[in-house]
Amino acid sequence: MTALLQFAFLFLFALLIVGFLVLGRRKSARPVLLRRIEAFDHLPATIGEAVESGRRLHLSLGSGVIGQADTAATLAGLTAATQVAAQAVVSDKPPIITSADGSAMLLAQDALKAVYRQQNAAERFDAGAARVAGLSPISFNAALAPLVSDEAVAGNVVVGAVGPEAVLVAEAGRRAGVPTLAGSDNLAAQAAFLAAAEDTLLGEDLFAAGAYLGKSSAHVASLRAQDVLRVILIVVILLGVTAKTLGVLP
Amino acid sequence: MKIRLGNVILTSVAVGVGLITLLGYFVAELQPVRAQLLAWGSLLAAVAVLIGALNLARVHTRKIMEQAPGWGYSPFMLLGFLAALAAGAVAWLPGQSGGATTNFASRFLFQNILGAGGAALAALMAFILVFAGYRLLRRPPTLLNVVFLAAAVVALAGLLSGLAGLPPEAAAGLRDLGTWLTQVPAVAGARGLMLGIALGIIATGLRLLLAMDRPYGD
Repeated sequence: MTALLQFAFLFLFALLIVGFLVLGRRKSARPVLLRRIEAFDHLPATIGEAVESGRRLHLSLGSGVIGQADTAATLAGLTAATQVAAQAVVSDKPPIITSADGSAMLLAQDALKAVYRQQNAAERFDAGAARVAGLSPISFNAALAPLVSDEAVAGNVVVGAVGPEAVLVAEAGRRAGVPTLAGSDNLAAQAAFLAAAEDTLLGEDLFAAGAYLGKSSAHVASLRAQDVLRVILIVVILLGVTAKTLGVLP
Repeated sequence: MKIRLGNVILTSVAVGVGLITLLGYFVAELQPVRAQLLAWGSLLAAVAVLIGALNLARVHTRKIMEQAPGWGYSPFMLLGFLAALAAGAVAWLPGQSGGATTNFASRFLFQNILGAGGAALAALMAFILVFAGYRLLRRPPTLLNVVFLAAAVVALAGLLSGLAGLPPEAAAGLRDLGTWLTQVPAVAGARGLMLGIALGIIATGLRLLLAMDRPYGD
């Protein structure tokens, strides 16, 4: 029964995403208004500053490993990094993407190469721009701290499977006068970033990067499906609480 | 739009493997296939670790050769890399007990370098967080900042109530308030956030399965 419910939930979720995608692509579809996320509002200014000052952006996917529990957060980070890189490759110093996993590094290289190709600048692609900075969370974040000053970084975008140890990067950025946008699927890290980083993505905001930065219709459809399911889950929880309070449920 | 054959093949493999792995949870007949695919995935993950380590070594070697800013740290990184490899290889020496990560050389490196370095950085993090909390006080007050700081102060006051020399009733009240705050509204808020994160994770997975997101190829 539980397996059937889980399958039905996934099926409904997939159906909603496809449904909203089809509805969103109709000619008569009204543009979707997304709620304001301050962290994403500030990002264009950081990208502009990097391009104008001839410095680079540092985009980090966090210390997640593809194929393990934090795959989704790492892929969300990759989406954010790709969207930001697409706007920042015109800078004299192109953006760098750091990760703590070989698979994530290969995906980042691939994504960066595609960005350069789409902008007809394939010859500027440097495979070294997507790199592994350390293989454990602590060594990874310890390696990122000096990178902020060594690589003439104009802004840090740390989005992915990031732990509280990423405050080391935020602090290095603060000392260098460089803003840090941080987002994680880890609640302890979100609390730490709220205090240490200039801009923080709270809750599931990190999974919304594709919709906000790239205006991707699939990501917008996915956000709308998430909202519908969130309302359904809230109603189910409230019904459960009421039933339990009234003694209907054991 | 130009469709590349390579991308079609990559997408078909990714979607096919993803669907079989997912359906393996629900259909008993698919479980052996799912187990085999996961075993192959583990093997690929191990290769990815090796690729990651080689990339790390390459980045630092390049840094030394180009004498890029901060290159002075890179020789230490490479020395550490070689030392860790050598420590792992000790297990192959005759008469040695323990595997590549459990022999005496690996344990020595872990306890005296990795462990000590990690502990030092963790201590540094505590200082950074305290200063960051202090800087929050100096930022223009927003609803989020005020709630965050008030919750932190009350929770800390609850923990420290026994040390403050307060009358027992007041100390108990403060402790109860701290406990209530951390166990009721904080847990409720955390569950709300976790629910949103879980939906985000599922949505990311479904977009991959539906080939809407293709982080491979272009």
